[in-house]
Amino acid sequence: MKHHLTIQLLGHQCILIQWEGKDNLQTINNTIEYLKQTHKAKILEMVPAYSELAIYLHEKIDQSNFLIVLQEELPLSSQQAAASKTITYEIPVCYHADKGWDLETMAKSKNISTDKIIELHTQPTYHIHFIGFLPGFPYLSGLNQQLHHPRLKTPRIKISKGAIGIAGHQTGIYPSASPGGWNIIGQTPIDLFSVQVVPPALLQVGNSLRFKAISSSEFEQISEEVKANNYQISMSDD
Amino acid sequence: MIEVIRAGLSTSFQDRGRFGYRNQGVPLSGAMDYYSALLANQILGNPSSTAIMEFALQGPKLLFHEAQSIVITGGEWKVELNGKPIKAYSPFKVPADSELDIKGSKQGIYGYLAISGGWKLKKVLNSFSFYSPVTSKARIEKGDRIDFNNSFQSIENKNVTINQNTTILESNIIEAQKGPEFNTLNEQDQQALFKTTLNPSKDSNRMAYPIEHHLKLTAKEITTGPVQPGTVQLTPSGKLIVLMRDAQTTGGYARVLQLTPMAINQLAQKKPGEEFYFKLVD
Repeated sequence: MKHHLTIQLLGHQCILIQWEGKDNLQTINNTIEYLKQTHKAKILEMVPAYSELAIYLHEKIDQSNFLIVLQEELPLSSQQAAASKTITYEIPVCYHADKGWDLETMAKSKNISTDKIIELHTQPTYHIHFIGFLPGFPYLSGLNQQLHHPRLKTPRIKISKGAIGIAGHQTGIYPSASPGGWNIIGQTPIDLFSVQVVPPALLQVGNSLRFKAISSSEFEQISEEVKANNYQISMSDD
Repeated sequence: MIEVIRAGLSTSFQDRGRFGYRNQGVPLSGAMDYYSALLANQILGNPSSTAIMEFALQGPKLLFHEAQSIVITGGEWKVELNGKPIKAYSPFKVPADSELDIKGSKQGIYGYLAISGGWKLKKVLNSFSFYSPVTSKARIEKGDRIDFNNSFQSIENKNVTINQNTTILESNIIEAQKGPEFNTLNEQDQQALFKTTLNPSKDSNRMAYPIEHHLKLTAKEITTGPVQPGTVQLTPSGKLIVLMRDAQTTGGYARVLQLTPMAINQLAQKKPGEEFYFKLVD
């Protein structure tokens, strides 16, 4: 299925591709793979978003010329679209009341049990569309509609590192402590971003994740393993 | 080596920026006024990739344990070496056991100190630029000690031909191209953007310069998309925000303009209340 796209210059050495419609995850990932293979020497880095891709070129590359090249090469034919392998990460989450600060309030306002919230949150496979907002912060799709919930009226000054939140139709994980207005339902003990690791962001675009409920004691145990650099995240091929 | 006697208001090390990690949510960072930062390195004959010390409004006081060649650029800074005023934009030898006091700026916000050969700093994710939480610190602190890469070398005879046009930074015309959502504004608002005096708000910092204005503008939120330093956002409530070097890599507000690379340097040096105009360029 061809997705209509527009290509334009955007500031210094940057070209922006925009796709119509909402369901562009596969198309964008295929385009990234294609550009990586075909124009590796010209492209410094690429930043995807929900329906857009920013391509940052190396300093000496002619921006306008490359725009013309892209206009000729894109959109990709179905033959050029690479079948990209995806990994599903398993994110351990403790949903205990001392970490899921807004779990009870959410449950009450939706007239369901906190157990039901946990069940609905751990059931789907979420797709990682892109990383933004904070180093390592994943933008995910796939949150069950029953869990959609408006942001807090007054944001908190500090949300803990590893906090799992819900805001509107989104769910996500805070890789570092930060102010925020999301509803906090749990916490993960794993590191989502570390400058000691290559690549520093654990969750990479094009992959998926699932949340797995763990107990408070398992949370402590994994925290120790993470501190000692001994924790191995569970991953599976799709 | 230097020892930090007084850290100053907001002093850090910066370079060209942190490239290659934007798709992991890591901002570019780097010198706010890159024109002046680059000039400092050029005057000393350093490679452009050499880190420089950046300070804002009130600078640091540094004790040089060993002699070194230095230069200061950016704005109009009052600098004293062992109590005597020294000129900016010229290489200068700081003798061993000297105190360099970078006091304040009459013009501009950001200033730069380069030393010959640069400092012994650790790269984090491919860059020397300070940015917390990627680097452990956002700023230097009193008591910090930083080594030089090279010992003192005289550079008086270096053949230096540099464009030292620094008045370009004082221009009150900030050039910008249309952003991806420029055309969502009606024609009246599009024209008004370029006909009105604007100024940075006092909440301006390395992440963003909110702009004070008297226009009645609005734009819908967008599905979160990539942004970069120099992107001018317009919020549904009519706020105009210019993203700067430490800005997030993606954003959900309409992108109405994109500043040119030089315009980012010029705007960076504008103090709160200092008036300017946007000028549309291709």
